[in-house]
Amino acid sequence: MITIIDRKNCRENAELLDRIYCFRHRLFVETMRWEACRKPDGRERDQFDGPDCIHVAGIDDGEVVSYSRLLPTTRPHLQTHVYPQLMQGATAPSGPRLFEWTRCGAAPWRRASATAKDPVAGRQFVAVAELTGLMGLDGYLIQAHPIMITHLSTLGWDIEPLALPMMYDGHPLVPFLARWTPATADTTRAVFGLGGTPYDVPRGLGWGIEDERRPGLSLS
Amino acid sequence: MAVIGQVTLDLVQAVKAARSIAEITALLTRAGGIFGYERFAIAGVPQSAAENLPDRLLLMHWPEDWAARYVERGYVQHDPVMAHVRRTTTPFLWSEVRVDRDAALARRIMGEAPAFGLGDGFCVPIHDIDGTESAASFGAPRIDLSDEARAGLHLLAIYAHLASRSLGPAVPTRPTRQGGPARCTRREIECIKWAAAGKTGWETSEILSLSQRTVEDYLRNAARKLGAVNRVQLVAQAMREGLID
Repeated sequence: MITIIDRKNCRENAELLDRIYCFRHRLFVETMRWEACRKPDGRERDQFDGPDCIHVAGIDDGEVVSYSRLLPTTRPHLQTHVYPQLMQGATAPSGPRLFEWTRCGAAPWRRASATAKDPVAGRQFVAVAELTGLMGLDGYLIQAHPIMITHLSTLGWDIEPLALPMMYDGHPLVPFLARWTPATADTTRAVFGLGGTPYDVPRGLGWGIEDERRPGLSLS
Repeated sequence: MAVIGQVTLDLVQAVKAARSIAEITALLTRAGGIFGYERFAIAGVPQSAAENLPDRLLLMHWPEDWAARYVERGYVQHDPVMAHVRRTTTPFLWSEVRVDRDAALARRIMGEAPAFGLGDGFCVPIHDIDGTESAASFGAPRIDLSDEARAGLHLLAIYAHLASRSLGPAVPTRPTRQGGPARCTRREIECIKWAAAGKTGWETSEILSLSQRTVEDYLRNAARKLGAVNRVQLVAQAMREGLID
């Protein structure tokens, strides 16, 4: 099931947040070797992990198994404060309806098969697609390996590149815009062969889905 | 640098907006003048030993005689460029691919291509989320790309693959129509068979004792009847419809 942590509920979820930072360390530092993010306390956490960010966490039997971090582009975010050179002189778009999608991943150690589509990752992608429609966002700013242009297009996002791919810290990175469409969540579900919503309705996002006021999902 | 960047982003927008395979082909042909390639093709890597190039072909703009030879000899199963696409997500030059000394067929493919104007090429591997791999290859007698041009062509290839995929395969599976296979005449089928065997129009005209122009007419008519836009597609479609083996 998917749980959202944002400004409204981050205080009561301090313990889960800590497990999220541990998950991020295990995935991004230990597994994917993002050495620049290594911290002595084994928690991958940076200056953007404040009350303004939205954590989308997949939880299975109490263990964090997938994750995305969504940052408002109206505040300092990675494009402006970590990767400005990726734009190669151009200006990245920003605004209240555009968030930055970072730290997206699913536990590879939970994958049953290296080749088959991973349902844990699938539920994470469906979760973000559903949340995007719910929040009324246009989409996301993303910096990723160029392979993600094809992957996210396959999942039903409309991807617009913002600059050419370049090497960054030994990895190819390209900045792009992922525009949400009304078909995005269904396309993602179809690709992964999933049905329904990955959100646990009584808890998690449930209080936001049922009534139209969408509490807890402040766009600030 | 900034020039290649903006030109590439403009080309990407145009490819995204393309409404037909012919339009994508025209855009990629135009881009060839900027990046220094002449020919290109986009195809999926075979997922079984029984597959040939047309089974996963998305876009074909190779020299016709090379494409026909490649299909007829089932080269896609032995092409070291296709094999390398499975192993990497990083774009590479054909000339950078190491070929085993004892991989005779692979060496022959790389040895033959230059005679067809494909002395070298730039290949962009595309690995999709479902685990399938495709290759977008851009060839010329010789290839000389700056780092920026490599990055630009990488991005353009990603979008050319997406666009051609969404517009459907180059070889559509057609519903069998009434009297389908009978629509081509015996002579037309004969010409397709020779085309499938790698013969040029002129060679076929010699074999069948016809004028080259007559052979070309037969092939053109057959292509029109089968909805094919070039000779490779014609051969593939004729195979699918059971006109030739």
